Order: sequence, then C-alpha cells, then structure tokens
Amino acid sequence: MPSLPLYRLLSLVMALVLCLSPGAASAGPYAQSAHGDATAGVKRSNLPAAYTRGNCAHCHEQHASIGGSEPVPASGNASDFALFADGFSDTATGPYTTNDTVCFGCHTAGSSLQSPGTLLNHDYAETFGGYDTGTDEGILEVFNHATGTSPSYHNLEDIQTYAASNFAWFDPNASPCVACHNPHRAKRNKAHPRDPSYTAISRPTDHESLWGDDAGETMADYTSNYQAPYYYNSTTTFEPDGVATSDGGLIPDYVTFCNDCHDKDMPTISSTQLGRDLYMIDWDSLGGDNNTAGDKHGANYRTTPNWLREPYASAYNLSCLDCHEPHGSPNAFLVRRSINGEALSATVNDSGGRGNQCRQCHKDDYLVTGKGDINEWKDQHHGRGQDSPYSGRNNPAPSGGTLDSCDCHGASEGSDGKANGVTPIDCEICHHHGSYVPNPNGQWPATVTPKNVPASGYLKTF
Amino acid sequence: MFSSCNRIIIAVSSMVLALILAGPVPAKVSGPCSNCHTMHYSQDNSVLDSWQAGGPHQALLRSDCGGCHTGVNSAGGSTPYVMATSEPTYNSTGTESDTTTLAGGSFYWVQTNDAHGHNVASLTGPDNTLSLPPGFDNGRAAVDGSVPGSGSWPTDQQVTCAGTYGCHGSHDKPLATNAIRGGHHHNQGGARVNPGSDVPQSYRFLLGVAGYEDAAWEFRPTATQHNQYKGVDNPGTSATDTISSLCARCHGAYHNDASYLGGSSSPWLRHPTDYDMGNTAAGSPYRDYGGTNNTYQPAVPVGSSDISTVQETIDFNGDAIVTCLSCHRAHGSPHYKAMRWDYAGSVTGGLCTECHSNKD
Repeated sequence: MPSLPLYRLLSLVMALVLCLSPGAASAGPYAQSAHGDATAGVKRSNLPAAYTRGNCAHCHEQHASIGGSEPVPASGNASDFALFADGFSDTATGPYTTNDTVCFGCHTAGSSLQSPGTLLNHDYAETFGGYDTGTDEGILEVFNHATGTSPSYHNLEDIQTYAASNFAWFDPNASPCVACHNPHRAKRNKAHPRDPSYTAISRPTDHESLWGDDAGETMADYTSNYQAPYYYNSTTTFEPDGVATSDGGLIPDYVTFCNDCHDKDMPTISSTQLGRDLYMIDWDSLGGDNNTAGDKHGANYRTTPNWLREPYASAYNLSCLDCHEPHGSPNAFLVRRSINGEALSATVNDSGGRGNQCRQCHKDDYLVTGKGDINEWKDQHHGRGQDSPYSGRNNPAPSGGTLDSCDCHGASEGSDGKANGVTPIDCEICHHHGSYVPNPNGQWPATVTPKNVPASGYLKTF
Repeated sequence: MFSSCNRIIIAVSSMVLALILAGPVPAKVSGPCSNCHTMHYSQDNSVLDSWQAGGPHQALLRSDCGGCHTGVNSAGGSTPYVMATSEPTYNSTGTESDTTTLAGGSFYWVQTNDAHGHNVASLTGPDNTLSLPPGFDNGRAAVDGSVPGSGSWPTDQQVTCAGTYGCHGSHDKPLATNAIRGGHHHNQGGARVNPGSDVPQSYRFLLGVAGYEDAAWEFRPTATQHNQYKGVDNPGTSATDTISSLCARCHGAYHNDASYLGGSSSPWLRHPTDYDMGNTAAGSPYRDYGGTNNTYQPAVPVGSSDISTVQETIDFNGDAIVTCLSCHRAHGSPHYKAMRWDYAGSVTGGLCTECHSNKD
C-alpha cells in the first residue's frame, strides 16, 4: 500500500491545527444576530472608535467604565450584567422613558444612543402588515402610543413579575424585554419580514433558542387551518410583507410563543393596566359550543355560520398577531392599528368600540346591508342575521322571566325582570377570550341565554 | 533518497525535539557577574557600548530594567525580553507558533498607542489620556503592607517596573533595584506556592503573589507548557497572593469587595475576577471552555487555587478561575486596552466566547 508522502501528512496536520486554533473565525448566533450584525449591529455613539460595530462593549462595560470613566449614558452607578444602564427601573406603569430599561436607551426614534441617534422599529401592523402612516417610531414610541382614549402596552413590570415567577432562567434584574427576546440571538426581522429565519423572538420557555426559524415553528406547522390576513390595501397578497402564500409558512408560530405565558394552563396573569387578571387563552381545545370549549378563533373554530369577510369565508384558525401588537398600540387590548388589510375605522377603546376590531373580519350592519352605521351589529343579533341569537321576543332572563330583544340594552336586569336601560352593548361583554353565554358569572347581559343555545346549554362566543 | 522538503521537515522536527528535551531553563541568572554588573561603569576609562548610557546604574548594573530586558525572544533564551526595538511577532493571540512575545506581551506597542499597555517610565512616554491608573481607589496593600504610592497616585506619575509605583517587588522601596533585591539571584522557577513577603519566592518577583513560573516565560505556550496563575474562588477577595490581587493594588475598583461587584454571582456589576467558573451548573455554556476535552487554553488562561503544577485540562474544581490576565496582557499587546486578542475589533469580542460559549 503506498504511504502518504511526509509533506502531505505534515500539511494535513497543520491544517487540522489551524482549524482547532482558538483564533479560528466562527459565525455563531451572536454574529448572526441583529445586535451582532457587522453593518447594522450595536454601535453606541459615545464609545471610542476602536470598538467595532456589534462589539460587546456597546452594551457591556466590563469594568463599569472605559478608560477609568463612564461613557454616555453616565448614570453614576454600575449596572447589572455590566450593562451601560440598568435592566429595568421597576416603574409600575408607562409611559416609559429611555432610562426605564437599557433597551430603550437605543431603541427609540429620538435621542437614541445608537449611532446615528435614531433607531426605528415600527409596530407589527406596519412592519409585517404594510400599514405605513409615515411615522418614525422606535420601540419606545410604540410602547408609548399617546393617541386614542385607551392606548395599551405590554406592561414591563407585569412581564418582569410574571417571568421571574415562572421561568427559572429569568433574572429579575434583567430587562423585562429579555423574557421574549434573547439579545444575543434575536435577528433583524424588520429587514427580512417575509423570512421567519430572521425571527427576533425566543420562547420564554426556551430562551437560548430562537423561535420561528426552525422546522415546526411556523403557523403552518401549528395548524393546517391557518389563514394569513390580507396585506394592507390588498385583497390578493397576504401577511407578512405582501407575500402570495397565506398558509402561515412564513409566520412564526405566535400562538405557541404567546401561550408560554397566556395559556390557560399557566398561572394567572395580573394586568396592572386593566386592573384585573387577564383571560387566559385556550387556543387548542375543541368542544364546539360549550362552556369548557376552546376559543372559536383557535382550534375550536366557527361552530355556526356567520357573516365573515374574506379571506375568512371558510373556517380558519388565527394567530395572536393577526389582531394584537406585541409591544403597544393606540388601541385598547393591544389591538393592531390595521387588521386584515385595512386600517381600523376608529380607535378601539375600553368603553366600546371593540367592534371596530371585529368588523375587520366580521361583517357589521354597514357591510351587510349598507343601512346601518359602521360598527353597528343589530343584524348580527336580531332577526336578519345568520345567527340571530336574540331575534324575536321572550328570551329567558336569568331570573326566570322573559326579555324582549331590547331588554338586554341596559346595565343590569331590572327589578321587574327587564333591563333597566337601552344603551348599546359593548362587544367585550359577551365576546372575549374564553367567553360563552349564558355565563352566570358574566357581566350583564352575558347572563342571558340566547335563543339558539345548543343542547349543551352554552353558546361559545369567542 | 530524501527530497529537500523532507530534509527540512526532519531538521525542523529535530529542533522541536531538542527544545522539548532541553528541560527548563534555570530561573535565576547565571554566568559571570560581568554579564550584568560593572564595578566602575568604566573600562579603560570609557563606557562600553554594551553598557546602557546614562549610568552608572543602581546595584552596579550595566543597565536598568529596560536595558537588560529589551531584545528579541527566541526558543531557549535565557533572558525574558519585554521590550523590543522592532515590532515583535504577536500573530492573533501571542501564543501561536511564530510569536516572539512572552506572557506579559511587550511594551513595544505602547510607544505608539497609550491604550495598548502600561506606560512604564523609561520604556515609554507618559499616557496622554490617563493621569492615574483607571480604577485606582487609594491602592490595595501587598502582603508586606506596602501600597502603591502609599495610597496616593500623583497626577501624571508614570508606572514603573518596580518599587513605589511599580508592579515588581515591594512598594515600600522607592528604588527598583531595592524593591526586587535578591530576586534575580535566588529565584528557582517552577511553583511559587508560599511566597510570603520574599521577592525570590514570589511569582515573577511580584511580591507575595503565588504562581507556577513557566521556564520559558510562555514563549509559544501550549496546554502543557505555560504559567499557572494563582486564583481563589472569592470575587473581590482580600487575598494578596492571587495574580488579580496584584492588579487590584492599582486598579482596585475593578476588584473590590463583593458588594461592589454585585455579589458573588450573576448578575455582576463588573466582570468578575477570582471567580471559578466551576460554580456554574453542569451543562452551563461556561463549561465548554477548552472544547470537548476542556483543554487549557494558553490564549485565554484561567487561574487555579492549586499552582503546584501546570493544569493541562480543566475540571472546574478550583481550576477555572477568571483572572485579569485571562483577558489582558500585563505589559502590552498590539490590541486595544492591552487585550490578549482583538476584542474591540471583533463583533463577538474575539476569544470572549471561549468562556461565553453560547454567545459565539
């Protein structure tokens, strides 16, 4: 057998040695992340020029100083994880400032520490839905939406409290943002909105891995019944980014992601902004019309026909971000500014107006007959609709009496068994995550039994 | 018949074998006195060219520290050169097979960039940015109770090789030669386990510091041939024998008590030193140091509580201790902030990922 020439053997050994050298180049998760991006990564304006873009020092000051002094922002105190600022200020409510979390120091449209002084990150409706209203905003501004009567945001202290209690890896000294994002792995999805391999999220239950980038992590994987909403101002293209496909194969599985916290099997979430516990989500259970069934926008989709708008004429399962923003919104309940290809007709607030969200996919009277106003729902509930749960007269009242259709339109059941007013009914009373009617513990008139209640005795209403 | 290529290979291999089999070079100086001393700083009524100008020098020496320790390091060399008149070969980390620097790096690069090392008087000019050591907090005492500058660092005072404002020897001795007296003649090399306040017993004449002295001063170190730095698993320790405690004498704010560091575990307020990565849980990314076999990495050295021998592999039981020298060269390097590798110029921080392995 011929022997290997000595010089070839030596070359092979040297090549192996070079490969094993500690200085060998690598492109691991950080180098591929948004923060580690060589052209768009972290670059704090006030650091010495020696620190290349993406370098650790732009976020971490190894000695709580550089060259014996603290570069901007000089808070005067050393911060956890050797960061240039504290992870969180523990402020209970917004609006937030750039000092409330180290992340906001850079992620703001104005006075950003990131060179050149601004860092734009638009909301989901714009980045993935295409609803561009020309506003420059960073994540701080998205959290701090000031318009509308009931702007909402993902309360950072609530996140911190919940994550610290439920995820062993989460350090309460860290920024609450890291509950959902791994800053050393999160990718620059805003530059690649139709490519989920550039996802920016990590599941709270799997912090060291990105979510959405691997096989089995898209909405198409979550369910074969997913239907992506229309892209803004289009009825032929879909989210994300106006793609032609709509099966969710290009959208991270946000249901699984969000339900790491919001699932019915997780501990209850207390909402500072709402002043109550959140309704926990059951997106997976079936059960049809029953008080124990899953949400009808989830796996337990549509049990009775309703006037639906395209592309939802058939039964489909939704993603959380089809309706909700992850960070903040000018609307209540983190409802998006645009849903299913159209801007909302009016702001969704806490005291009504929720129908402006619903009508993006469900036809209100205005869309059905053109006779009613936008966000009127009489046809859906009384006689002319396909559902008509309260058509005609003599709906059974909780007290045992009977109610006319209009009798529901009050704040409560009156002493005579009738309703005590004629005010409009907020959608939210009967239609919220987990809702069904009649609900003995619900708010009036969710306690009223609809006429088309099935044999189970309950009609699932969300 | 051998080809010329094979002859070269055999010759190189023979040289490597000769170096391996040569054994450790004695740590103390040897040879005739005149190698180092001159009785009158005069020979035939003149100063020899081989003597450093500006004499006579302390202790009847032919030159000062820089005069003797300026040169080009080579395999088997008997004098450690910490300064050079032409740029040494550092490669990426100063540990590769073609390098000519030693464990402390070289002051060479400080001549042209203050941020590349210590601006030692007589070797380099004063630092144009720093007027005192960054992190100076009135100094911490060496084992003999001496404190750099007696606790006060005059503005624009340059650091010196030894003495009051120096690293080697006692800070109570203003003159460098007094500060390290006995070191060159009595040092034995190898393990310096109990240095006490004896200069010759101290690691590299760093008073009271323990450690294992590599006979070749880490000339082209390997996992089996390197210094072994003393550490303890006690961030902010008041111990005086760790290599990091030496740095803390002048840079104390970086090595203060535990509360200053944020406690004894994450989240740290500053990068910890004298912290054993063995405190991390099994399966922690930090336990990937040195790869699958946890091989000691000369380019990213970790200290140990036991310095009687050289650690070849790391078992995370008191032998994965982060020290200042895990990241920095004591003398200087071609990299910003005297880093061992190009930290500032790397997106991932370069060899930071040797320990922070999940952030590569």
